[in-house]
Amino acid sequence: MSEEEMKTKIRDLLVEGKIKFFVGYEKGTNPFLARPVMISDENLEKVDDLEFSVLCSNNLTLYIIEDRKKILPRGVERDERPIGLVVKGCDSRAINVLLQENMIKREDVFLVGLPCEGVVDPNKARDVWYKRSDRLNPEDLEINEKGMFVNGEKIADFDEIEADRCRVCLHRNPVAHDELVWDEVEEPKLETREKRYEKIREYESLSPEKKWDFWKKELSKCIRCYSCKNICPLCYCEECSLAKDQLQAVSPEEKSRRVLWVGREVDLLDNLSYHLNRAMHLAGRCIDCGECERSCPVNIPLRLLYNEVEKNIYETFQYEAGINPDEEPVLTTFGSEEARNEECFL
Amino acid sequence: MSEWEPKILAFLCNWCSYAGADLAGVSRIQYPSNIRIIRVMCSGRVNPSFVIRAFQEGADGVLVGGCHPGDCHYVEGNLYARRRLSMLRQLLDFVGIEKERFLVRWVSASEGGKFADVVKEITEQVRKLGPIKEKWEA
Repeated sequence: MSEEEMKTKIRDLLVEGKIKFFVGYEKGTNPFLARPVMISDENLEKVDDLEFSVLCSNNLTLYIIEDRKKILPRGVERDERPIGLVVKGCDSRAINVLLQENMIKREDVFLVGLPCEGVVDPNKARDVWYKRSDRLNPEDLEINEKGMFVNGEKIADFDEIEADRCRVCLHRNPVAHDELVWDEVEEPKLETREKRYEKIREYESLSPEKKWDFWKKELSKCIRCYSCKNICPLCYCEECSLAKDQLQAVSPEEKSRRVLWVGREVDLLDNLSYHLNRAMHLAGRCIDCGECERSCPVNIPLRLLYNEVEKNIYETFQYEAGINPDEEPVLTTFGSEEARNEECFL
Repeated sequence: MSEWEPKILAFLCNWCSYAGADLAGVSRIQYPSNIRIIRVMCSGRVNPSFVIRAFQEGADGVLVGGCHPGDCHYVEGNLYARRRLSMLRQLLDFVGIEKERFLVRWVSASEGGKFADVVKEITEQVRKLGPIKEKWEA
């Protein structure tokens, strides 16, 4: 299926009312990042502006959760039609995790798969652009899978502006999809997995003092804006145990009954506790879409923390998040032989 | 100033490890008094945030005791706990809280001697590593 056919198909689905709305990407004001756009039958003309490119960095899975959480006025019935969504390889794994956890049903979503050979890191691209271009006019700028061009002149290879997570991506083709925008791309080679964990092993080999120095520096930057939690497609709890930010809605009695295990102050130890807890909550679930790191205003290397857990899960249980929607989530199950084994894991 | 003694927090399961600790006491087995015990109904009750909180509040070591795998009073609680806590252990190590500060051990109600050994083991390990407050305040 080509891009044009896909747009026609999406328009047809919307006109026929088979899907509630469609979430895709359009050209945004930031030249390095496509903007998510929500199309319903009210703004059908936007279908023509849908973009499928290397700028489609955001993980749109979040929009399903947001829609689900919406509180409807009394008497209004929930629209049960599926939501249309563009998914890349990583995003489709998020869908699978949500399916595993019974957060959504497969028929609640219509997935347009976007086989992806890497997306642009907006920060990296901006830096390169500032450094190498003397005329800073976004109109002259073009970014495609070959690199970055100003007035047709190449100023950077794609490798330089590619997001870190994509350079070590293991699943480029959507694992779950209803339609594909274009043909499947070549899956990465086997040695990518080793490359993926290279940086982590480097950190693991440091002494405990060095490790703590590093994390102390990084975590004391955290301002507890919770954007990592808010943007995470897998952090869907109605009320977060780490960031009770809806406390004002409950009575004082209710408040006093709740135990806060994770402090909310903006200091090093509370930040440590918040980030470790979040990493544990994402154990065996994080699909490395990199949204937390992209949205972090103080550039904490959050992916490093979550990838460490991912690596441990993979090495201990040979489990990868979001590959098979019928599998049990790894930490809510156990192998039958484990009951007889004293020594394993610990 | 008196010499520093490690403070160790232990989460012991009601059915095995807590009874094991009780047996160690009743049998008058000597073990270090650095340990402070919190009884939980099952090692599966131990949320990773409890452990992180303990370190944050100044515990130099944390011990989680449960029934032997396969012997859990609730059949499978300790198996979930094991998967979860083994991940936590590696994560703590990754941010610089040494693995040796956090132990998970299986002690049955009849193993008073083993309980004493476990307490000795973690106390010695933590004593070598020094106070965690130094790390927090450094």
